[in-house]
Amino acid sequence: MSDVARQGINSAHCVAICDAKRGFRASLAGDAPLSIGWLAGCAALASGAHWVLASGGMAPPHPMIALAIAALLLDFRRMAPIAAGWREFVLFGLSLLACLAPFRTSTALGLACAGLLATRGGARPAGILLIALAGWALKDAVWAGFASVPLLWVETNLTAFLLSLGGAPALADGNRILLADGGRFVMLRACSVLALAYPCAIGVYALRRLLRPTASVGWRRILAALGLLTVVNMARLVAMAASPAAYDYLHGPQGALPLQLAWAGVALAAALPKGKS
Amino acid sequence: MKRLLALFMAIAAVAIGAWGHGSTAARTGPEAHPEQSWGARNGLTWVATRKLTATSHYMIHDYRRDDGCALSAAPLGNADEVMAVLRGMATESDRAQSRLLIASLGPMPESALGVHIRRLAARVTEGHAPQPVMIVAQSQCMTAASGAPLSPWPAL
Repeated sequence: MSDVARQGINSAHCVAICDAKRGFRASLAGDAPLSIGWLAGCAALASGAHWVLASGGMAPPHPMIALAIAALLLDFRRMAPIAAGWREFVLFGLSLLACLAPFRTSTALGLACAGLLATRGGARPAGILLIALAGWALKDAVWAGFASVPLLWVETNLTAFLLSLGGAPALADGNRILLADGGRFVMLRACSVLALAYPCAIGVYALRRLLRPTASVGWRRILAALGLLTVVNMARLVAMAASPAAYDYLHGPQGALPLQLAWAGVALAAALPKGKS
Repeated sequence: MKRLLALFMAIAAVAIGAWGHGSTAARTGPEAHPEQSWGARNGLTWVATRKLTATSHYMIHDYRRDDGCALSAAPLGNADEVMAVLRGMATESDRAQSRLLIASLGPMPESALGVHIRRLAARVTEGHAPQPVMIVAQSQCMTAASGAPLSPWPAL
């Protein structure tokens, strides 16, 4: 390990906590070695760009993505100028190789490598966020299909139970709910908390990093946010199954707004208050 | 200079990856009416498409064959979700006679694990490659259909 690297590691904590600008400026200085932070930033940038291009869409960014990007920028800006070694160059190379592949799922490998780089550079929260985003990039291709089967079953049965409890007899059958009036309510992945939980967890984590950068991760807050979100979504499902008017509204063009507001409210409520967690 | 080189390498990797992705998409090419073109390629007449949501992500397509057999098809990407609907379309007495067919792979038992494995294989390229399609029909119709090499669902 070079002297510069040792010096960087020794001063990393002070640079990150006491004088963020110093670390950022030092990394931009002409004589500074190629830092891990720079490599991590380039890898994250490339993976993010590959994600957007491979997705084939330029849709407005998900609020979770926007929050994660803001938190990542903050963390990258605070990273100490630690010189990159051969392991970091290998990770950087792997990340670029992943971006070369014409598959959207390869984005996950690029993001994971960027996350490992950020962690090795002393920015663990940025590493967690990038690796979490890598998991999100694999959602549709890998794990959502497996997770949806038991989750949809639980949500369908719970919704039917709540409907029956509220005086509207209903019977769960797979991911369908048979209603007393002969109607059917089909539970799809887009209706499930599956589509909301992951963005909510990342959003709360990123928001907490933005609002209280020196605080601990707050896993309990994230779990609490997920619980609240599950309750909100369950109420939405029951309302849609119970009332055709509610179904039409919540499935209509304006239907996403209440859920987005609830999502934002849950994330804010979980991230804002001060506490020990 | 080293920093600029790293940045340039990152940009170049993305550009090459995007070009590769574009060429993959160009080879398969999304079609304007995949339900009709797929039906025509397989000797089926498209009858109707049922949208399960407003976003058109979840759809079931109904077809009729020349011999009068009615078939319902769903691209495998959403098989786990629409399966319950497909099953529900048959009456209780007919349900035992229904069979599941993954068109591009041949007949298979109605196994969630099997569907998921094929679904995974189909979606590695995220909708830019042709997908297997799931067919549900009465067994007497499936006997003829299962022997025919049906084509996969067009790229989305």
